[in-house]
Amino acid sequence: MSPKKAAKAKKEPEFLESVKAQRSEVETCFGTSCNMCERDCPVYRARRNRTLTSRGKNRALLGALKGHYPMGSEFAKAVFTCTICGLCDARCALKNTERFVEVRRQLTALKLNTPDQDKTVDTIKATGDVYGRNLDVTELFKEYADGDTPVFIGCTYKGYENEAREALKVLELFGVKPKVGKEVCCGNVIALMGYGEEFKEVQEAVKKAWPYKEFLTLCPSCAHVFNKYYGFKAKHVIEYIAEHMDKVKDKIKPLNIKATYHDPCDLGRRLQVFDQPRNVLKAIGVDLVEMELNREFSHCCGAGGGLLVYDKELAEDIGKNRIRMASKTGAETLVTACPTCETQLTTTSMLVRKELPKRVKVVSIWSLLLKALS
Amino acid sequence: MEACIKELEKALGKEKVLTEEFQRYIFGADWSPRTNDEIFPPDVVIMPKTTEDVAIAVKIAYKYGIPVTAGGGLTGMAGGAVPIYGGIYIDGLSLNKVVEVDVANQVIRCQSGVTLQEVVDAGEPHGLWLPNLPESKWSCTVASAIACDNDSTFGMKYGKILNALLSVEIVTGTGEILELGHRKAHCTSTGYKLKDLIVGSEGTLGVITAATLKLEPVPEFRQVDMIIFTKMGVAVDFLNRLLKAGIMIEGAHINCKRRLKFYTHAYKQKHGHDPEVPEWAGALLAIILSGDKKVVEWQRAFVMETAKEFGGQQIFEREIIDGWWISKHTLDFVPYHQKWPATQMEKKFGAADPGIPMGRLDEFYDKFIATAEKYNLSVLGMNAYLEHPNSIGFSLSCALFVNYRDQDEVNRFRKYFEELTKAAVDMGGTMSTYMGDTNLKVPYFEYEHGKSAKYMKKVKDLFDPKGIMNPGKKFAYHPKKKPAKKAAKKKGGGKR
Repeated sequence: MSPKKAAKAKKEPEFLESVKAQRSEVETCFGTSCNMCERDCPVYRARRNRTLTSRGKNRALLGALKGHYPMGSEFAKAVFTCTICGLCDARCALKNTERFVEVRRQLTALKLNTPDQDKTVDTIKATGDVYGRNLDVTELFKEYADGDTPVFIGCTYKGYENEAREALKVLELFGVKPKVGKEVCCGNVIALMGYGEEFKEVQEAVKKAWPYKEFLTLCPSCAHVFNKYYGFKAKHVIEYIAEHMDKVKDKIKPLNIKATYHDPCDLGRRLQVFDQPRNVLKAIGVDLVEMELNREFSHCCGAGGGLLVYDKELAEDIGKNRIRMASKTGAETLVTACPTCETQLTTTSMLVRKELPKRVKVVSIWSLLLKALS
Repeated sequence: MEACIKELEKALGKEKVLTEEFQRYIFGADWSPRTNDEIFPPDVVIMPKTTEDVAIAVKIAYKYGIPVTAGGGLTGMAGGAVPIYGGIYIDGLSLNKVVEVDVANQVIRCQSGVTLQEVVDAGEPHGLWLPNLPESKWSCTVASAIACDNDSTFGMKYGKILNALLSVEIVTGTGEILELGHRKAHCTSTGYKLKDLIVGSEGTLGVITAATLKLEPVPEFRQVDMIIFTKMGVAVDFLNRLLKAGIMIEGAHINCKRRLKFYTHAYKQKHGHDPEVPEWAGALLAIILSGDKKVVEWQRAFVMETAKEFGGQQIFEREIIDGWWISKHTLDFVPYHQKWPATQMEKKFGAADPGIPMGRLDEFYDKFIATAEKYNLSVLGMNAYLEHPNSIGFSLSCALFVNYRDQDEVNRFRKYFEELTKAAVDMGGTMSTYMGDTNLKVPYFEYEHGKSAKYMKKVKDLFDPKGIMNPGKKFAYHPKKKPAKKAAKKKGGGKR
């Protein structure tokens, strides 16, 4: 049956209003069909499957909205096989990733999530931690209980205390007295996986536990989510540091290393923080070389959008591709300013170590700052 | 079809066979002007990894008499790779391995789903590149470039893909694997040049699975300029004078004034208005010179001096030229404001692609405008791409804005397309210069080709005895047993 006849024959499915509202944009994508989103899409690069690209998903959604087929489990698979990194948005003029999150909400309403996704949501709701650990930040970092500048540590760095401490120590070198508080996961993963109602519950829990409205974060994703969904004024630490480099200019011992900087998706594309980390790195004597995809067109580490929960192997393949890009620059060090990118790229750098001429060492920007300022 | 799909899954593995409705739907349309009621999903999509995978699939298709359509980036402008009769769609992008970069012989061997940009990337570390680069190079594959015989930004020096194609591997309509061409030699005088038949064949003779392409040294320096003239024909005379003088022009594009606006999106993003050119300017020639810097600079000085003799005026506002160049080659658009979606929210780019004799450009331009007005369509503009090495050989893009949400407007566009196409033949030209015939030109295929169309059909029968390879393109398709699905599709506009 032709799509036209099928449209007449089948009953229009019920869609969320937010998904119905996507019709005009997916029609534009169909009309345009430029395919500029495809080449650099991290999932496409790793899988070479165009049903998983932005154009592919937009067209698939068009067919669903026209009533040609229902959204089934395979459809859901295509929509969840995405890091929501936003590179396709930068190569477009449409709001693709926002749309995919809305479609995920539709899929959640249709109960097309996987048990692993459901489990992650339950874990966050039960423990306030994306990894399900009962870690109390005020206990872990008790030496920072009495500061005057609230700093949200975030789930990932709670499990990597040393790295988090490095960031806090850097802040101290800038004259800041960090103050930690009771934390509940910001719910970024829940929101991106399309669990709208559950995200609202998490938001309530966060607001109860975390009393501050203006604060610093160590994680770009937390900063983005707090700004976008909570109405908080959350600033990533690197922004603060970049603004106050004058305070430490006499203490800098230039590192004289060659490094490349990986733009975290939430810090770069979403918060538009591109120059600040680069300026900081240059100021501490880093010879910065850029990777093939950088700034607005940065390539995801693979851990975004809940992909790590959904398809770990693909997430790792994406991370491995990023390490390969870093290796091509000739830099031995890859610096980033996101705990999730840092852990993901550290893992994937080990996985591709043997195929590369030299190991790519993944470090946080805090560790380099600490070295240069100590 | 069910039995065919089961056989495909068994032979290739389920991971290479896509059967979900939403997956098939994705492959049912390209970039050509059409409404979203004119999407033709194949019955099954396969994602082959090797030539053998393709051969297996075609053998199965041959056994069942099922159509096979192979596609690449699906950025075609006339539906060449749209599977209008359903059947098996071969997603050529899966064949994406570079087999060899032979630096000493300046040759690349690759699977056919490697994109043109990926060929450039593979040559780049060795100082080599493939100059056959259309704007769609990020997703246009080697196979697509060969199959539809597309155009290139750098055609005036390097020509079209045939000039770079040394050898091509295909899977015929019976599933036989054939290598056609002359290995790494640049020319041959032996045998029939069957390789050349594949260029522009649109997958109607077989599926292209691999190719050997000649690479060129990357020029040290490139200079892009624009010069305005009173008429497009004056720009042609000017170019002819440069050729006579011995100037080596890498690329030349003669835009009408209206066309420039669409191609300077980046300029508009920055300044909030279209670039301004003098009222009298009827043509804007973009001219590209490349090579060693001192040679280019000398040639550029000659070009600018000679332009004055033709009443030409150089454009000094660099951002106009850069804006055009971003659109044409670098694709370095402002993030979140990429040209194609940003300019096609309501209406899209739709073009006819005829070729005409070199002395009739202004005459044809008038015909273009008149035809657009006749069908009440808004003009985007004309560009004459110079696509023949070191001579005046046009590939015309006669473009309009087409409302892809309005079936009536899309239909009027097709009438415009037909009329302009036939007008080119009447003027001693040709129907197509970079899109191919597709299904659109089937009704008037003999209008251009006359009796030779019969010989062409015999050639097709030889390669594709059951007529299953991209059916409905170039020639009409008459399936013996017309499934209901196909009939419904036809009604939707599959065979226009």
